Amino acid sequence: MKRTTGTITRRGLIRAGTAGAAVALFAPSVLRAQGSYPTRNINVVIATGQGGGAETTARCFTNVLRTDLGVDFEFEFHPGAGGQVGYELYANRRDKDGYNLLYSNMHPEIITFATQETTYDLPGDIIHFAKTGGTPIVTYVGANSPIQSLEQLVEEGKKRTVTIATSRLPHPGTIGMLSLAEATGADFNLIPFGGGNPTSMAAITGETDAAVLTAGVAISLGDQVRILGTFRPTPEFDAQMGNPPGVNSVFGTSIPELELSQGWAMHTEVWNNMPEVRERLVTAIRAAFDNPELKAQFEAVNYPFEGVEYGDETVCAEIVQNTIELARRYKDRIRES
Amino acid sequence: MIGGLFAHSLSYWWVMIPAVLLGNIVGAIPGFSAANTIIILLPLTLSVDVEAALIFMMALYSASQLGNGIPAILVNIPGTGGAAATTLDGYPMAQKGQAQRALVYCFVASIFGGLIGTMFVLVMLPVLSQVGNYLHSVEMVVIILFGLTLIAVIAAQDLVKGLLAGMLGLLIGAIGTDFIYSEPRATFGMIELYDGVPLVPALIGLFAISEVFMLIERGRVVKDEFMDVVVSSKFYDVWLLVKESLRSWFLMAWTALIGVIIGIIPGAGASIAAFVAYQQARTFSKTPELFGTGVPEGVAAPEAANNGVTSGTLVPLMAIGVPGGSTAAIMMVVLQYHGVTLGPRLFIDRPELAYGIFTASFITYLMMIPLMFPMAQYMSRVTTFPAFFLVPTILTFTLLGAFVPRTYMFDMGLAVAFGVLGYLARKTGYHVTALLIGIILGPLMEQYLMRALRISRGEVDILFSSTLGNILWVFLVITLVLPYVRSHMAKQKVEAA
Repeated sequence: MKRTTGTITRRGLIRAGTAGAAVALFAPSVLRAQGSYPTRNINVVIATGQGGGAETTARCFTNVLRTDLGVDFEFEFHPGAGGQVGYELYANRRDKDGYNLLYSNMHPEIITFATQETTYDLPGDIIHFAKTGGTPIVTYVGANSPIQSLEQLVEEGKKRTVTIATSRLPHPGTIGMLSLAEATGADFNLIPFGGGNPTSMAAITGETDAAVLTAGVAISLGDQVRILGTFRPTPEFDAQMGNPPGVNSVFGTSIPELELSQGWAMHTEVWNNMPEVRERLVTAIRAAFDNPELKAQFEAVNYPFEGVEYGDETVCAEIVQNTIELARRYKDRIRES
Repeated sequence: MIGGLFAHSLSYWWVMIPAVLLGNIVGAIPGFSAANTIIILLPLTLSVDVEAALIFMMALYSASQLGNGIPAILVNIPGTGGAAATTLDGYPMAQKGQAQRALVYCFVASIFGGLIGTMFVLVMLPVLSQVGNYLHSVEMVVIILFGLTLIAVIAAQDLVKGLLAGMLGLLIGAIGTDFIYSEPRATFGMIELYDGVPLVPALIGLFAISEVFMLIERGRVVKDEFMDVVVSSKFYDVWLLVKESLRSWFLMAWTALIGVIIGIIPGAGASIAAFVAYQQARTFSKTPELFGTGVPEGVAAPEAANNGVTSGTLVPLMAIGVPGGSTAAIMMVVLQYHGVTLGPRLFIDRPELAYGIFTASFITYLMMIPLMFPMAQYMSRVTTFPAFFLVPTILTFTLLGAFVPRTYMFDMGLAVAFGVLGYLARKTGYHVTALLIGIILGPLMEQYLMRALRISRGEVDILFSSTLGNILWVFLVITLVLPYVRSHMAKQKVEAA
């Protein structure tokens, strides 16, 4: 019988099936061996809502990374419980295959981990491996506030209860203001407003005497607010913030330097067992910092580029460790506040 | 200058028309909203010029608010929490064969409310931007209480059942991590509940899925005796109804302004505005006892208010660069990617964009007139569709809608659970709206109340510490007492006669 093109025979089907199965079985390892990761889009989990600082900066990075890695990035947002929802979901329900990453607001989310009972462990389940930048924690008032300086804020706090808006209680800003109150004898009443926008509104409209958040948020509000002081001296931000003094330099205190860092994290299992994924991602993220396109991305969205700074896994491990210790030290005080 | 801006915005008609049509569709499907549609279409909004992107987003946002009311009237399924109050009278009207009338009132109120709200905000922006300085947590507690008193109104029909439903709603609303310390409450370890009971699955379950069960029993939405009314309705009737509905222009105007004011407060939103507007419209109506039985004013008030919110959310965004709601926040991010920062400086740096937001909104509402009214007659026919057609359609869209906002399979199961609860509530005479009011307003009430009490370190007298707050308290008392006074006076009149 003459065999014609396009006719499916039993033997042909078996051959094609065997070849297909072989490709399906061995292709991933072959591709891995060839260092071809990634071969498909990478999913990014963010533990805060859409439209926040984490999304803005993550997209700046992925816009640069997509050219280097040759794949696109897809975002999913799981806000809630100070980052606990996003972290639990990432740790327990996303495949540990190198195609799922976490972009993190490190400090508040680590504080949540340290002060709550969670089903994930840091760094046992999730490892932060690349810090992308950090902005100092600052305290500020609305433009119409009678409070002009950090000293005046503390003096007011010695005469009466001063209300301070904060995003949430488990937050580096809260720890900063509680430390300042403890060191100076001022009476600060921390009020959680559940997010950057309502917190800023509280200070601007005078519902609270002041607010404590990241410099990035305060800077973005322009002349609507007046920054009184910073919990981490950051010369690179000084011009934009109006040269506010460092809290420790004003009061001679030794409050830990506080900032809100952002960075990339992945499943610890992937980090330990898939070195090719680890190397490829670390190299690409590291290279992004030297790419002028990254700065252009930040400028395009009017987000301060000054705080953008690479930190490797050792830097991240230090942040995680120090923040956990700090949060556990202040855990009771946060609850009592 | 303004005339030129209107003409300029109008030149983007090719963006507005698809945005209006899309906005109506996504607004009408529970779970799909302007916010998540803008996110899905992010690549599109980033690829066009900034003005086109802005006009597209504004048109989509405005149109989706109108779209929310359509399924609320036709099949008792509000597209979002903001349209839940519309079901109270819209659906009874549909059951009585007056779906076309209800839809026309919905469209007129939405368009009129949107136009009034946009004009009001455009002209009064400097003054309105100061409103936020006076509306703090204390004032919000009272405003939310206005909405919560609607439970009492519903309970008036059956006190025990109404209050029980409201209480159950408040309890369900308390599930999730607490607002102050982020401690989980009644979540049973389910992370899907850490952020509270999600509104969309609750809404879909209580209204859509329970309605599906009821439809299976009844066969269709419209009662048999009113079938002829629906079938015999004519296209020309729409214009007569428009004329009729415009007689309620004053009600639409002041309820739209309620929406604008509530919209200014970040985090408040259309749900509170619609419930407050409905409650107020009922209080000041000459026939309050008819509310809930299918009166057009019960459709007009919440629809005008939730479209007023659209303009209100722009006030903090334009005045200080802080978004008033989730859609506004996403619009802000999109514009950031275009290198545009929203805020007061935009009026100086890019006036065509700053004013363009308002002119685009205004023109969008005008454009809805030729686009929406001709459809009212055909839309009203949905109420005559047999259950075997409606049930699978509603189930497919709503279960998908339950999944979309958070992409959790859990939410589809939750919607079904709420559906069973809603069905049982209806069969036993409990009002699902009272339940929903508790679920929507309970967490907001807790949040603002806890914040106020925390500011005062637990002193309750903070609730009576502000002038505006005290004025609102007086209004609240008047609102609660007025119906009884009027009823008493009416009784005396009857006795005297």
